[in-house]
Amino acid sequence: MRILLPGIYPLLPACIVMLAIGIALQAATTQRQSLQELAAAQQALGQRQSEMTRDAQQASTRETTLSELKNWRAAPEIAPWPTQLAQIQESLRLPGMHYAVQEVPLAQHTDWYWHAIDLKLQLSLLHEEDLLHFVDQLTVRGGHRWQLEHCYLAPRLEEKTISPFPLIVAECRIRYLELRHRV
Amino acid sequence: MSPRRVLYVAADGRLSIWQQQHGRVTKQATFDATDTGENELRQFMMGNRAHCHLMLVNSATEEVVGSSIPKIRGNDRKALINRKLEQHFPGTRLRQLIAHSPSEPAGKTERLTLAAIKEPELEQRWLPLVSHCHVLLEGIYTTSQLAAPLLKHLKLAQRNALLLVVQDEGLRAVQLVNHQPTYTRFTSWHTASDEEIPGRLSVETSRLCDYLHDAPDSGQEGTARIIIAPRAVLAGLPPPFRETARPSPTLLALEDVFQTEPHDKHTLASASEALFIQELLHETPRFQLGPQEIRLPLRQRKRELLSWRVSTATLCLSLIYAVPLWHTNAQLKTQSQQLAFEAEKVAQMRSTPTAPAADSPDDASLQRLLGELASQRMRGGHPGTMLHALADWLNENPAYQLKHLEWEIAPLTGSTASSREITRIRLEGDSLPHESIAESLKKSLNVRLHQPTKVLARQYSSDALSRPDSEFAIERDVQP
Repeated sequence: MRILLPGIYPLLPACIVMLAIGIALQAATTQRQSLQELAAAQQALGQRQSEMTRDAQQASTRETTLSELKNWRAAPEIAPWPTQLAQIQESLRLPGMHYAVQEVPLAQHTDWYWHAIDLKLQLSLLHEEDLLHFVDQLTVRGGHRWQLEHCYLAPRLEEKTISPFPLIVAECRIRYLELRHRV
Repeated sequence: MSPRRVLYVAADGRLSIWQQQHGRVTKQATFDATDTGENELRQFMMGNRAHCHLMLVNSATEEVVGSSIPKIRGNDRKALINRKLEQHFPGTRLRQLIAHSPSEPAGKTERLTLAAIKEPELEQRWLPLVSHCHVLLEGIYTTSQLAAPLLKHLKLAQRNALLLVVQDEGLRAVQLVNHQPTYTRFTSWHTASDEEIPGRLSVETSRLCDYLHDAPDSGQEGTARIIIAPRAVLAGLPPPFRETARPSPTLLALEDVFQTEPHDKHTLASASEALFIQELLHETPRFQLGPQEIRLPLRQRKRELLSWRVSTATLCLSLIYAVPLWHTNAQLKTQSQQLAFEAEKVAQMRSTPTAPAADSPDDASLQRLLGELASQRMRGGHPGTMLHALADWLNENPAYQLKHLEWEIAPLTGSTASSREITRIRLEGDSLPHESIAESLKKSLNVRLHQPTKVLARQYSSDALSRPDSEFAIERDVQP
């Protein structure tokens, strides 16, 4: 090598030292860059994962809401509202029940909409507590579909006479709410 | 660096190259003291630059003298030694102090041994060539410097000794006093036949003994005589020599000392040279006779070697430092790529729109439906809590009877979370302090319902035909 490179030969050790220093510096620089890249990648992944978690939470909330809303739809296990009322009258042995129905138009500009039926209900009761039992039965049979909005409770005029007829009359305004889907 | 070699300059001016291989020194090449030999050596050296060389001179012109100087140190001592050298060997380049010792244990003087070589073939032919070829020369040494180490190696070390070695060209005699050479002489018998050599050895030995005996400060008392010669020469020594010489000389056969094969004439002829060369390689003397400039190539080579070693070590250290980092970097890059890939995958999963199920409303409809449901739920409620609280109050106040009750719930204006429940009752009783009933009712309901309740007196009537009655409106906010 001394013969082949007579001019460069004395400089070769210095070149090797510089090469060694360069190698060490390059390795250190590369490692610093790699660490920075790794930190950036970890941060990006963490951000994506947090976004994913947030999305999952939102989706979970949506699913919960959807499942809750599905309860408002007409379900096979829930009887139609006239049947429910008849079943309640029979179970509570109410002497009399009359009602007037009026369908209430709610917003129907989309496929999914709420459908409401307002009932003016007149009940003949033997006792005031029967009204509470009636309302409880509405909740048991129809869930939150039934909403009691107004109720008037008063004794009948014939109360002082001995009669097999009910002594108390209740006039209620209730609304039956249902979620519908326009197919 | 390659193994060391010895450039042996014989008494006749020939230069031979020796090298130690497998524990034995062997002759590599011989060059005559001619122009042809000089060219051959130049060509030989051009291809063997890497070796470090020692030059051993076995010259008839070698001189060794003893001298004394006061015990001083530093540059003064150096100057004094140079002056002594100039005094004893004027005009000679190859001269040097080769040994020194205090004259007495507590003496104030120092004994020096100075040596010089005036070999013309060496100075005019071989040294310029060695310098021209940039031969890595460690130093120039003489056979007299090796006498004491050789005897020590042969376990024949004596304080005072006379070593005689029969060589191919002649007889080398070295006198040692206090283990330091004080006299050397080379007697050439190049023209003598093999049969004449024992006789000449006997004569030369007697002459040397006589000369040294007469010489002042020669230390002849107790001087051991050691003769190393081929077994054939020792066998040919005349009997009177063996009997009269006192004390009896120690005779060593060269074949025994160097362990050569008797039939190998070439090796036997060179054995005496090899004996000194092996000793030179084994224990190189501290002092050398050459000028300092002949060692410049070696020093330069050593500096180069040091710089190469430093640079190589630096490179190795940097590689030791860098290789694990590179390995770690590769792993980090792989991890980064995996993380980036996962992040990309997550991003793609997130960006992929999830189509709502066929039987599910989309997000906008869902929000709208929820809003409508909330407003609808504000319209309904359950009268149970209020009616039970009223029943409890009526039980506590049996003087009053409920005539009728009206309950309704309506959304509270300005609120999206509360509704207002209004209960109207009509009570009938004998004595009706109107405001006190309202206050009693309010207190009772506040306790039972755990929330503030408004009880407003609405109407009071009393006539002669019926019992007095009062009507109250009870208001409270509820959350459906």
